[in-house]
Amino acid sequence: MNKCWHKMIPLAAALLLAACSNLKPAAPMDYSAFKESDPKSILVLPPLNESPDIKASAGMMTASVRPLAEAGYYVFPAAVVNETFQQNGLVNPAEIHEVQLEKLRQIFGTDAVLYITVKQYGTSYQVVQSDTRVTADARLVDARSGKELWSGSATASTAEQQNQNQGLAGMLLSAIVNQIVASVGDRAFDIAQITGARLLQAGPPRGILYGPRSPQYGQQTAGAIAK
Amino acid sequence: MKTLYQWLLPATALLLTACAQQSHSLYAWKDYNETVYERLKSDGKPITQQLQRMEKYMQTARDKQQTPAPGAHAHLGLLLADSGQMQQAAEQFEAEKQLFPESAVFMDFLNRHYTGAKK
Repeated sequence: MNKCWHKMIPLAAALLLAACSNLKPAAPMDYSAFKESDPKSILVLPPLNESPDIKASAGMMTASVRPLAEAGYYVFPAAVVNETFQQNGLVNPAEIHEVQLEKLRQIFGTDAVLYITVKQYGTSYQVVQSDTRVTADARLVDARSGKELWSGSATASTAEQQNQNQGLAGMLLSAIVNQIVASVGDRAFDIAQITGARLLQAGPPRGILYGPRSPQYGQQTAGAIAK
Repeated sequence: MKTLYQWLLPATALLLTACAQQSHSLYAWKDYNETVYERLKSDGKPITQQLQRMEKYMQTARDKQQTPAPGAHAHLGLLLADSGQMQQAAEQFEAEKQLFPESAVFMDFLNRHYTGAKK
């Protein structure tokens, strides 16, 4: 076998490491409350919207479902949840975020509740190019104790695609955007899906823990807790 | 030096596996999110179109033997209830409950609310 081939391995390994680590900025996180709570289901409440776009709450709520489900949790159906609140006279996310946990548990039987706030949503037209950006914060709370289990923040923007110097993570982003772009013809919705994936994807160092329906459930964070 | 390479090869393989696992999907997604979004936003497509799309999604998941996304049966149930097909709606809420027992409390609630069914 060619000797050169062996020299490629460390390089390839380093590239892979760089690619993987690019997706997740490093910083340790305390998961003890999360592990103790060990939720099986997550109720995502209609997100609070601090942006001028009236579709922000719907877009971000939709974007939260897939990452949470793929992380191994049961996620309550967004539209059905939303209409259940509406039929009980709660239309405004701000009111819904005030509903007592006990009441939420009684109707939905959920283990945990996710509160999302949309900070930015939509397109701003700048001199050279327009930028569609979605930024959101999220807080996961135990539905029994009210304890905070996890919190995070993420952003995604079309400006990332136009930037050439950002390696594999950027290429993936373009691929995802191109894949879904024609689907609803709604660019902010597409970007929200990426924000959602970044915000709620499971895994260290700052992501949520894997839930019981994931094959990776219970396999992580032995080290994270020690810190 | 040789031992280093012997160690590196499995390490590289592990890394590849770790990366590949991230893209493995537990559920059928397709256009499910877009369909839910149609319902959530105020200016969505007519209910008949949403129903068709949702039924097609379910059919494709069945054909490919993939599990429908959590909430998909319940979402279909909502659309059915909204178009007056109460019996079919109740069946979908029941299907959600069978597939995801975590949803039991909510599905019972919906059944009582939409179809007035006995518990």
